[in-house]
Amino acid sequence: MKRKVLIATLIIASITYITFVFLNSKEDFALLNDVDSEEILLINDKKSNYQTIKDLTNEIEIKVEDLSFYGVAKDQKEQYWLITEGNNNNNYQRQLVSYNFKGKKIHEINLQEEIPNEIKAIDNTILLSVISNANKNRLYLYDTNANLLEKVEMNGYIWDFQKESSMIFIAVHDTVKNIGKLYVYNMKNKELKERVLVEQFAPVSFYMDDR
Amino acid sequence: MIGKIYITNYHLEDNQNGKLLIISKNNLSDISLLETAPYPYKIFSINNNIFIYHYQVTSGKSTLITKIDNQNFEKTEIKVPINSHLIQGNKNFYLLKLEKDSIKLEKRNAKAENIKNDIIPISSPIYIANF
Repeated sequence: MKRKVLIATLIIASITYITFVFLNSKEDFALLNDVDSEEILLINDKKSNYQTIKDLTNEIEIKVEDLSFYGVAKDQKEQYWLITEGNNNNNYQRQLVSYNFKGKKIHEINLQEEIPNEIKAIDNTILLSVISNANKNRLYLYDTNANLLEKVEMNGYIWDFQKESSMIFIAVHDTVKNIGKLYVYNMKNKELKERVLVEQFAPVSFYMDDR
Repeated sequence: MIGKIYITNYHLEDNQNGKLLIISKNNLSDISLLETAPYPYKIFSINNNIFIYHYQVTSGKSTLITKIDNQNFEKTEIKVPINSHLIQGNKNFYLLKLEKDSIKLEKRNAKAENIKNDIIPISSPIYIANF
């Protein structure tokens, strides 16, 4: 069992390291495409310090000054949400920012010390997963005006999450126990339920139908 | 709530087959299993067709997409260009292939048919991040 936990930990560490290397690459561009149901391409240009949001659905292309390494999400108000990082007055800072379709910055929130992992916009909610420590992750929920609605904490690495009505489904790999889990959070009564799915496998992505 | 939750699972230790878990939303203990090709990284649906994108961790390349009929769960494996990456959309999905001075963008419809090709010029090498 210890061996399996060690291997799982090493794999997570490798993924984190590879991501770190990518993020700190001296190359000019990075391309992000983890955008979840939105046909958006995000192209970073580190050299000239701008990036392009290319919305393939609406054929919109806007250039923004913030660099993002954590994906892009589009909400129902046609705002593009990015997690950015960089130096602001000599302070290293990660921020949650939004731009409208004309490329004007609308919201700007300073984030905590946690490492942002993935962002999605579903219905009128912006969902942001962060890594707090090795086996502790959080999901932050914001409204489209950038107000923090909820902070949900789970044991394990958050691989993916979805929202349906007031229910949020979160796929988690518990790296200590090496089990895949599904958390279900009810926004109405703020109840978090945990369901063990399968051992030794990481639940990496999911889709829900209503049939 | 009605319907099902489809979760891709991949084995973290070696190149074993992946699993697709099919779970009833009304009863989270009602779980069916479907074996898939290794490293089923991303699952998405277009026009009720379910697709699984396989991320080849060992090589860093993605070469396979599995299409699943959600009536009888019959699997069809679709080989896509080596080194291609995925953008999922609501009506289409895109395969990106990185070239030295461009990104080749291949647009595919819900039947996985290639319907459009684009080339986005770039001036420097591009690296995929956030996978």
